Amino acid sequence: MFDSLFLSLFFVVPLVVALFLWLVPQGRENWARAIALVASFVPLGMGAALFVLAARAGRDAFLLRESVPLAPTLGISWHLGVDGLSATLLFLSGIVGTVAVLASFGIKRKVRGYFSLLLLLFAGVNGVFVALDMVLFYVFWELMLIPMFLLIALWGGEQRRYAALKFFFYTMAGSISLLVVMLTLYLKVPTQGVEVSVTPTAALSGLSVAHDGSAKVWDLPLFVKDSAGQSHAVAASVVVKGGVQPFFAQVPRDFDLLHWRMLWRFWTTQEFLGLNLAAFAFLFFFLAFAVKVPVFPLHTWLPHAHVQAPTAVSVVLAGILLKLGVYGFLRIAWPLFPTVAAAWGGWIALLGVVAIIWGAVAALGQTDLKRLVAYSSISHMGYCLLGLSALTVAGISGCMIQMFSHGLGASLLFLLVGVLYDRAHHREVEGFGGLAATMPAFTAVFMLAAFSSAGLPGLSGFVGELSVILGSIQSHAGVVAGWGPDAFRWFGIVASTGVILSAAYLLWTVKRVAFGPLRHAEQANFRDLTWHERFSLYPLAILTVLFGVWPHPLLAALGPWARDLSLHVASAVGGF
Amino acid sequence: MTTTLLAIPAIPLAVFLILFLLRPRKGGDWLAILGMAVSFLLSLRVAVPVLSQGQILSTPSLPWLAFPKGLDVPAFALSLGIRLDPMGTVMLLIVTGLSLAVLVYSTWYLHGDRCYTRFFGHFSFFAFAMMGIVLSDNLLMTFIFWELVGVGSYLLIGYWSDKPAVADDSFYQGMKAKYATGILESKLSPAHAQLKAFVMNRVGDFGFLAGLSIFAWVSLAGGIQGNPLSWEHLRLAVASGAFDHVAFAGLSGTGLLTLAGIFVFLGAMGKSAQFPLHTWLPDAMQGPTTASAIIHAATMVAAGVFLTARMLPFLTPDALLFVSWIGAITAFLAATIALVQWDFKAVLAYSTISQLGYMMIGLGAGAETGGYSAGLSHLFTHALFKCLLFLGAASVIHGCGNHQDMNRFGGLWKKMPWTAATTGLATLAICGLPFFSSFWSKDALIASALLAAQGRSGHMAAWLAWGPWAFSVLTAALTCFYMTRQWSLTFLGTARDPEVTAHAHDPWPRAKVVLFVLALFTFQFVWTGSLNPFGASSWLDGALAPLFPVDGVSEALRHHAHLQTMELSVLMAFFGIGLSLFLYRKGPMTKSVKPLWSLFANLWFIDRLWDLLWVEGFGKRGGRLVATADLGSSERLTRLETRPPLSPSIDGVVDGIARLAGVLGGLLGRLQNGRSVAYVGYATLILGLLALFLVI
Repeated sequence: MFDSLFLSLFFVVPLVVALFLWLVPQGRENWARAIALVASFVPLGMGAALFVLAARAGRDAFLLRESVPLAPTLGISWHLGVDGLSATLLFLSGIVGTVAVLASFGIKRKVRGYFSLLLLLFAGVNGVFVALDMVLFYVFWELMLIPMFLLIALWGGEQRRYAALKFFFYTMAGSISLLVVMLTLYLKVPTQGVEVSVTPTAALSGLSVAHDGSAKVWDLPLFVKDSAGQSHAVAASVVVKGGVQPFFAQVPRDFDLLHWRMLWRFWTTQEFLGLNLAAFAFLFFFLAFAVKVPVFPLHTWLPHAHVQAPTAVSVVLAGILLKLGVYGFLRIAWPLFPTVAAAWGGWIALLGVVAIIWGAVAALGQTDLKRLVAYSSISHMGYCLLGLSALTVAGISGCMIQMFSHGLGASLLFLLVGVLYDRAHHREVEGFGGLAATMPAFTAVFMLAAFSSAGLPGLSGFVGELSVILGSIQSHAGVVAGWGPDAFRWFGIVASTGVILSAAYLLWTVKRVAFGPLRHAEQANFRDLTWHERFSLYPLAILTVLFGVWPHPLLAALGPWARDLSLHVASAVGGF
Repeated sequence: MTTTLLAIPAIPLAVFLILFLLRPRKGGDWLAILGMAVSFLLSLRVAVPVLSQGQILSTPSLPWLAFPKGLDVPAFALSLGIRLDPMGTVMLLIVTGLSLAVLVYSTWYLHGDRCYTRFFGHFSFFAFAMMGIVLSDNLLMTFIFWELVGVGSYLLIGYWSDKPAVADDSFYQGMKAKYATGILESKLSPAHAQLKAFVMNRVGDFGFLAGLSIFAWVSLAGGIQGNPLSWEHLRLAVASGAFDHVAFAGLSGTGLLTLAGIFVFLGAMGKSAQFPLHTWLPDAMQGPTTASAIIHAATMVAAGVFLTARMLPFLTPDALLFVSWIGAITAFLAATIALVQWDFKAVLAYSTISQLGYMMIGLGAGAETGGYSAGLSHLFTHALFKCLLFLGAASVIHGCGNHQDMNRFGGLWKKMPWTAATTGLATLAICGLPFFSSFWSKDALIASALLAAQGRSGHMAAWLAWGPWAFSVLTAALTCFYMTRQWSLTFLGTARDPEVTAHAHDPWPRAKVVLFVLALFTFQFVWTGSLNPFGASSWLDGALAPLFPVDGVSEALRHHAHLQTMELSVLMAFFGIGLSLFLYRKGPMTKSVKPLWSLFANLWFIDRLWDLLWVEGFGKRGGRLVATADLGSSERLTRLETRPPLSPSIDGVVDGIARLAGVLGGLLGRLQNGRSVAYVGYATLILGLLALFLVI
């Protein structure tokens, strides 16, 4: 019971506090702020603890996991779990959440409602990261959509309606495809279930012991067959010792994602609308998640949303919401349909590489600071896609590390743009100049964020990019995808040009904003960072340096996970 | 020994952190000097066993990024560790020693400047990063510190980052020569220069990153365990034929190794300002002159040469030919530009580029011809005399009230005898006259280029084989010409503009001491340990030899090449110096060879071409084009509240589809009630039912 209760806290605490905030009396806005801040510390603390545990454990296993039947007839269960990937992203979500609350202290209108929605949003985000049941996943996925829409639509800039609607329709389209594919998959499983063979590795990773000592894999009884075809339960100790027989399990019709992963071969044997079910389902999952990443060319809602959203919402959007798309790839699309993911890897990697270059060149052409950072996000998320489809350990690790460090870096950049907006009430690059003299602390953090985003070694941005490039150049995924062995090496080399472009647009921006003579006389009395700005910026900056200098914890938490996915896909396609 | 090795870079880092985080008002300068002095002394201590006994010192490697094993890629760890060999030791001594000298000198040069202490903090960071490159035991660590060196130089170039572009700088406009041309004045400023330096370096670093990734891939594919990028493992991988078993882009074996080598060399081209990536270095002169002395003369730009030397065992003959040609073009091109500069510092900047080109010629000649030791020796001797030249320039510029136009100098010999004498010695050194340091190192370079050309001539077109050597000889004369021109215009003759030179004076005693000490190293005997200028061997040769046995070329052949070169280069030197003294005997020339002059004065239009294609074309136009193709015209972006006009862009297409859907929805009529939630509800319902229907 402990596991599911503890993990539920990740979304229950923000959810309850979000509702509770409405009880705060009018005129006591500071209470709302304080309560929200305290509430945001809970997931942060828990996330940090889990991340440390994951990094210390250093293997691919769930730290906590429990499945409680919720609607057994429908196959829905309260199935929550945390492994290295979720722990890292929960940690990131905790950081971004706390920073977002801090950065929202300046919000003056409808304060209670604002913080309530912000917490609701994080309830959804954290829920997605712990959910291992597709229905739960979907519910949380929808849960974060509404608050985000309202936060942009109610607290946004001048053209907030357009941006919010665009965001809404895009993500709603994603949600619909998620719903469709989820129901399809559920219904495709026969009511009596599917018998699947379980490899010893898979059996070990999902192993649990029943009361009578027999083995279970992901809560399903594991059995072996004798020569007559009779099934026999197998003792857990036999599995641990490495039993020689092929193991089997009967996967029932339910929404359990871990069960769905065991069915990966089953999906490929089914048809849907005359198409291979696995291909169909992968495509729909891919579209649903690609909208969130966002993958080129489904990205154009992002610049609008960022420009119109208030600072803290931009931070949340870039810091954590974009990661949900990649999380969906990692948790669902790739493990469930490894053969399709590998077969389409060439195209997906190409989309990633195009995003890297396109986003970076588009960033060069922006005049609005927020839009510029938005395009840099698109470019940086391109690395995630490339690393993931490279399917090497380094590539997948790089994808996940890139998510984490982009979460820190993009949050920093959006906060910094917010600092400027607070003072100047505009975001035009050309409307600034020479701020280094009046705002030295701001300039120092700005440079740090820019250098990290530009992939400077010693700051966290470099680690992900390096791993992705290494992983891509080592990759044999091109062969499986039918693109030849050279394809991913070329992708890696082209992706390396990102280091030129990112340095160009980021440092050019730093130059135009901070250096040169003061361009606008009224900016001479701009205030340097205030204490609460420092409070949100400095921890992010310190983490950026910390994980840049010592990325070991990230890799310890994520490396085994990457290895597992890489091997899973490799064994599914029969090796590279 | 491990602690000592770690302390050498750690001390400057600590100094930087203290100055950056605590921001003391006073004492930062002496803290930095003290830190650097300790680092220097520790370097001396570790240098003794390395240089005298040929020992290689190292620390255990610390895994930095450790990836678990995959299906076909073994587990590997990218690690950080220190490895100090003779070549690194000499470099370490030069880095710490010159840093110390320049720091001391800067207390005079920058005294009273408004951000005085910041210089010492940033300088310490730079020195830390530079030591990281020197001490690194693998290619990735080199890359990491390589980039940090880039940041150090970024910070130092941008020391006066609030200055306007020179076009808006009234002092500059009054100070520059009337015929000044070639500089993009509307752009050139410290803030621009630091950006340009970093981005141009990144152009090269892209190659470095791609190259090291290729090396890592091949090394792992070849069965290397542990860190695939450590020097030892790379050597092992190449020796075991790992490159023969993989293919990329139709290349395998030597071809692939050539490609990977050239990729990494691209990085060296950026840092060492090789054609066509050299344009950042002259702009970097916007930084304080003492920063230029260390960064753009002695250490940072030397890093590229250092890396090339490290990579030499992995460079194939084809890659070496590429290296020599890049070096040759760079050496010649920069020397021609230096011929016509009016700006005192610009001459030194182009001279630096040209000399770096020389070193590349030497390295490109390969180890067998002695090019390896010659290239490195020239790196070392050049570091010292060029640092001296820059510090001398600091003295001249400071003394002349920040004026830099040589046409207005003249007769400074009497006002600043120390500066004149020491820079005079350095000028003789760079000219390569007998008894001076470059006579030894540059001649060895040219000799190795000669040997390499002889070796290559059988395999390829004559011009291809002999080009680098020919350029190196030609450039020797050009070097003597422009350096003599600079020195004689500044120090000889009479004061041409008394207003500028009236208050010129030698620097403070401590700065004079620095000049004096550096001047000692302009003499050849300091390097070779022998008063005989024709003694070709050196204590450095001894230190560098064990790494690369030079059995490829017979001793007699080498001796012959050296003698030939010596005659030729002394001839070239006297020709260059004589011509220069003759032409400039009465001050600046009034006549010029027009087409050539404007080609050189306009920097061969390379800077403009980069600006046109890269900054204006790709960066600004291309950026705007892609931005418009993505979201649509700016008009569209400002009118989003109502129905934004559609324009041909990705976002426009999206909106177009949405509008089309809206039109179709309108046809459906009654269902439309204007609430988006309802639409989504309908859609969900329909699709859900559809799925349900189809499956069951």
